[in-house]
Amino acid sequence: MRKTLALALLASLPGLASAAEIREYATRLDVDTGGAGRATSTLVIAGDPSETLVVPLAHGAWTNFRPSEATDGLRLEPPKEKATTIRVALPPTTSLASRLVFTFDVPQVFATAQDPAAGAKLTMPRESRILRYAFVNSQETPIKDFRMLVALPEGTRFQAIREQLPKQTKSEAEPRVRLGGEAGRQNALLRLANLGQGDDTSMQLEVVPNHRSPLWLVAGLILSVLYLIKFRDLVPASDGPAQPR
Amino acid sequence: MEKMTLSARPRDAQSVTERWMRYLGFPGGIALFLLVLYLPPGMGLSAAAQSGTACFLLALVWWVTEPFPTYVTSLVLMFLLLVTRTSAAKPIMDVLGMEVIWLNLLAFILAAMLVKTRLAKRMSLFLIVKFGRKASWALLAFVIIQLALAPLIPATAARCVMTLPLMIVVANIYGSTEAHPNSFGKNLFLLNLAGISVLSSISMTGSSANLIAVGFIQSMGGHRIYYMDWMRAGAPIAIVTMIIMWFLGRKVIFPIPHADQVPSVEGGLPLIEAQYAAMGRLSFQEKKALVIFTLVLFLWMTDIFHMRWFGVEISAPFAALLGAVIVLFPRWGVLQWQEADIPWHLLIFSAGAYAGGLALDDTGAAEWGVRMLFGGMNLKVIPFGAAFTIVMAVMMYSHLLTTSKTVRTIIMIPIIISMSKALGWDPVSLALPAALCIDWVVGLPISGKPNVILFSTNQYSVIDNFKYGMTTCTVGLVLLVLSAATWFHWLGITPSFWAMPK
Repeated sequence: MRKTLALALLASLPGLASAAEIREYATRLDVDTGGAGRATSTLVIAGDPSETLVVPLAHGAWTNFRPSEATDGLRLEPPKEKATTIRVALPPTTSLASRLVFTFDVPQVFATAQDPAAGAKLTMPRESRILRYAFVNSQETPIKDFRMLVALPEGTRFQAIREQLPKQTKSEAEPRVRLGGEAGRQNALLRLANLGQGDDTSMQLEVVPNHRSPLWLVAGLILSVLYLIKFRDLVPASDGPAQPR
Repeated sequence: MEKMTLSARPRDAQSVTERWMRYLGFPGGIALFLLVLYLPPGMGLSAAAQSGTACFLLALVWWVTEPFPTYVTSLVLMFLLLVTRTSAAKPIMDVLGMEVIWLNLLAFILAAMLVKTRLAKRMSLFLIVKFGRKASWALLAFVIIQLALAPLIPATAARCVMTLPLMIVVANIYGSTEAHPNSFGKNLFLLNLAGISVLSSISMTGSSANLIAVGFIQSMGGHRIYYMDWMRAGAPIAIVTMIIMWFLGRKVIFPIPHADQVPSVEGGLPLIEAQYAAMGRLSFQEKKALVIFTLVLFLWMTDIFHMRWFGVEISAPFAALLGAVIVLFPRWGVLQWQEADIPWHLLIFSAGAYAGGLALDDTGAAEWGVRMLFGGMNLKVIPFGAAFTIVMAVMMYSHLLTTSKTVRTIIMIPIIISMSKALGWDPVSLALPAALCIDWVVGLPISGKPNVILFSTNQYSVIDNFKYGMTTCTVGLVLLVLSAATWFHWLGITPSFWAMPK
């Protein structure tokens, strides 16, 4: 009984339970025409002074990891090759929220249509590419606001959003993935709030070249002209009875 | 009067204008399609959303101008959705299995039962003998019927199905047939369409979309809307609109000539009274039809108790399906399959319309359109009354671009709540009045399930529907704006009409 009481008291002491949280985890991935991407992640982290956190990386397949900005006193342990997390020690002197910015490269952002085996069908057009992205909060630190923005190279656009998870709930005003753009480049923003340990979010989009086949124009014009010629009897010169069709 | 056919014969163009519309509608639809397809892409719009919008607009022009019968346009639309890569084949094909399609099919079996057993004729003759000495009173009787049914049966399609046989027979009595529709028929069917839709906004349980809106207002706006809060705001507007439309329809939109003001059956009203008297007591077949219909009606009305009673919910189509099974039962039923006049062309038309509407919703085109519309207006510099008018107008007329009240609610209400907060207005001040517009889906034959069902009677054209529907929506909008300045303000829903954003 005494032991249970002691444990309950210990658990209720504010200093002992970790209050750390990632208030904001925003990543921007700019994709170039070759399909490679450069990502910039910005984190706003709050927690106890000197507390060490393990933060999941926003992208699994990365190279060339570089810290670019951090609040004074914040220490970042550079990740080893193929690591999926980074270790961050918060500043020892302050309990205010700290900011960390780092960049990394993603060698191949898109998957392309595979040539099918002989006799099998293609499942999407050859010029289409698939953007698949998934994030799991594998660590115990909760993430209040997670955002991942993927900006397409010029000359491409999204054909369709094929998947966006988790499904939008009735209390959420925004869809999980919102398309937007800047400076002539289309982008997709994946957003999820309050990710606890084990929560995940993902999106899958089809990317296509940004041009339409002129065949539609040709077919439309031919059909219109043919109709106007062949159906002239619909509009007789005088207001006579309707013509049978 | 005993025969009700809903044939697939295309309507003949009646006037020079209509014939020109048919002639130019075909290239016009294609021109609009190409224009939207080749427009520089909107950054927030996927290629599928853009092509879906192009396909839907083409179909909309063709449905209105009718260069083809409406069901052929639907087939074209379904094909275009596939080849423009707006939708995959499966979701397009699956539309034919949707609840609304099944309900249509089963509804016509039940309607055929009422017509064959002459129960519909008996009920219609009763209605005419009691209220139908003049066309205006016959029309008003239907408004009262719809008003009485609205709180009892939340499913608008079910209400439509229930009253459809009466409408067809009464229209016949006043000389309006499928082959020769007249102004009375147009008024009758379109007034009922308005009644079925608009009167659903009387109570928050009038449709499931109303309840979704109430949920949003509570979860996102932080205000709980009680049953009476909704009713105090919604009921006066819906009822006054119906009375205005009863008057406007027969006096202004489709004036009823003097000759059509009375029953046009040879022998006049005395003959109708004699026919009603000659029908005598209810026949055994009529009693059977009455029992089957009462069973279906009972299941429609008690759907909220089904889970408690049966451990399963029997939704509106399944209640109708049970009715159809009994109706078609060998020896004990009242109909044979070949006697059920199922309008397959209507089901194809509905399927195409729903495939197009779903494509707009699924690709995000509808939501993008609404956001662009609101985003393009600077509501921060105008008083509440002006912002209210704009928001209500967008909400009211946006039903033209979607076929689902639920989807429109899910898109519009959160945007309106977020916008209210950003402008510093109480979310209820814009969201509750906007929610009152959810059920006003009367502009086009594809705007809702009752629209699809009633359009199949061939008693009015797409343009007639548009004219009547837009007038109804505009009357409702004017009443909403007037209410915002007076009634809603006194109820504490809206701030001062001239208040500026904080």
